[in-house]
Amino acid sequence: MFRTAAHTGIDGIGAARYVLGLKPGVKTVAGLNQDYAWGRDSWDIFEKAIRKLKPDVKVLEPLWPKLMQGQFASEISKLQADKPDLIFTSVWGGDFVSLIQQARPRGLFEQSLVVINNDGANVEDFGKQMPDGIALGFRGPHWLDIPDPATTPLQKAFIDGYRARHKKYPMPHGSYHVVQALQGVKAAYEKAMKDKGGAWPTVDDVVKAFAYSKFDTPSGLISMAIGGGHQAVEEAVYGLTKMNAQTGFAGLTQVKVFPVECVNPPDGVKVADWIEKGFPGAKCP
Amino acid sequence: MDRLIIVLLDGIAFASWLFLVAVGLTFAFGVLRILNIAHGSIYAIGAYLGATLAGAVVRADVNPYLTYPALLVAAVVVGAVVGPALEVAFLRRVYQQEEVVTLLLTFSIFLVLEDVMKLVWGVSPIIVAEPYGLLGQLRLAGVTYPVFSFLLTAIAAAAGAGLWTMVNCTRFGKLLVAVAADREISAALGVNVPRMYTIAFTIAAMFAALGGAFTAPMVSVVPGLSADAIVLAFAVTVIGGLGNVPGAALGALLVGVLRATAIQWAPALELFVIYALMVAILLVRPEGLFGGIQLRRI
Repeated sequence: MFRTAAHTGIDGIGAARYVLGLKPGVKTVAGLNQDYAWGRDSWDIFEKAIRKLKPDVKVLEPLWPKLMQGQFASEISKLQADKPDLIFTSVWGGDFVSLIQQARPRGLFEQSLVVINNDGANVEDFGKQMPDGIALGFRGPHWLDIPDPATTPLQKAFIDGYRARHKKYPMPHGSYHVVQALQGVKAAYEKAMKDKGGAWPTVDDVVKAFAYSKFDTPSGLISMAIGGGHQAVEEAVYGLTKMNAQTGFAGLTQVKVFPVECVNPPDGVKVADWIEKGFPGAKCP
Repeated sequence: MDRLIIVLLDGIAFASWLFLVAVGLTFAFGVLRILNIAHGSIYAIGAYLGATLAGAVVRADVNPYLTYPALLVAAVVVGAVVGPALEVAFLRRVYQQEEVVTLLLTFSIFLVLEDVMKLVWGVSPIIVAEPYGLLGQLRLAGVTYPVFSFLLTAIAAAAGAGLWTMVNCTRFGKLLVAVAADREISAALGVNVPRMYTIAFTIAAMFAALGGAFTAPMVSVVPGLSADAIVLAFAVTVIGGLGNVPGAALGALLVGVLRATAIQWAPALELFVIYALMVAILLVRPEGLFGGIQLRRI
């Protein structure tokens, strides 16, 4: 089993680092996450990270809406009444859309800084209805200009090809991660064949070639650096939404790209342990 | 005090949505004696057509307030087309069968319609947010509420009152009650029972589509919308008593207020309280709050 995209750890750690850079004086934090493994894990990592990075922060009791319930009116009222400085959420897909649709007219994004840890799939679909000032995070360097298509030929080819076929931009992170998987397998087979002098490799040969490999993708060079060489690491990207009149949908401002060593634990170290010990070995700008 | 007002406002808003979804389900059961699982699909088709028509209004760059009549038109069209189509083509063939047959049939229709929606509208979310914020906001108890949620409450109240009046104060309503009480005697007295069934099912479908269409501006219209709606609608109708419209209203209100209370003071119990209430009521009154015990021919 190989995973050619980064794991959940970088979403929560990246979110905590980004919001504290943006709002160092943050005092109260609330959470709104879907009540299943992804929501629980996302909140757990973010809460641990922000408590470690800013021990005096007050964390309010988190909200746990059902997955894809789509109705957030009561949760928004609670958040408006509590008035936290910061709201962390890991909602995605339909819930991401519903939450923004319902919170926008109620002024939640003006009241608190809302950070969404890992979804940009519907940003283009939202068009001009996407509010400014949401901190949006992506698992990996995937955005219209990250990495810069002018200097990354694969990124340019991917965006152009995707737009020609689907009439829209490839939004993070699903489309990029599928390509990463294909590129990773392709690179592993090529390496395994090369090692065998051009003969078709066995599965074991490919597994051996895949572990700790590096391969080129539209997101730049991906490294299978942790999890015994079976788990990729990526940079975490965060930025604030800002309407872009040119494209007709929200772009990002105050973008921060956190290097791999800043948000990923070293090989063999669990995320929770890394945070608990104070991120030993982390290299952040 | 503010928190209590918030709970009440949120509870009523959620109850309004729940009632719109559940009222058609309970009405169809009351008259036709079928538990229509495909009710959730009609709700979702209403949401899809509502989003499509309202989206067309937005893109046409005309008066944005026309999105509201567009949502209403979507509900009427879906109810008037899907309702009779399902009743005539499928349901009327199984009224004399055991309940499990109608359950299986409506579940099959539910599954088929799920895929039909994917074929027609795709799997990407349809986003039409404009009507939700267009009517402005009200500041109450320190919280900002969109006027749209009060509109939804007004629609739910009007729908409930309209349905109650129709059933209790019109000749057509009396005929419906007669058909619901005894299909054979009604037919023997000259009532066109199949026609009454078609009309009753169409009304139920129209309520489902109305709920869906006016939910579209609040949520992302995506596959899966039907299942979430039907599960909650079942809980509400069971609490109120299957087939009872005032029961559905009370059930929706209880669920709405209890859920809002949990979110304010015990967020982890948000989902639990809904079904805990259902279990508690079923233990004390298995027929639901307003349901009557019925004799059954065997």
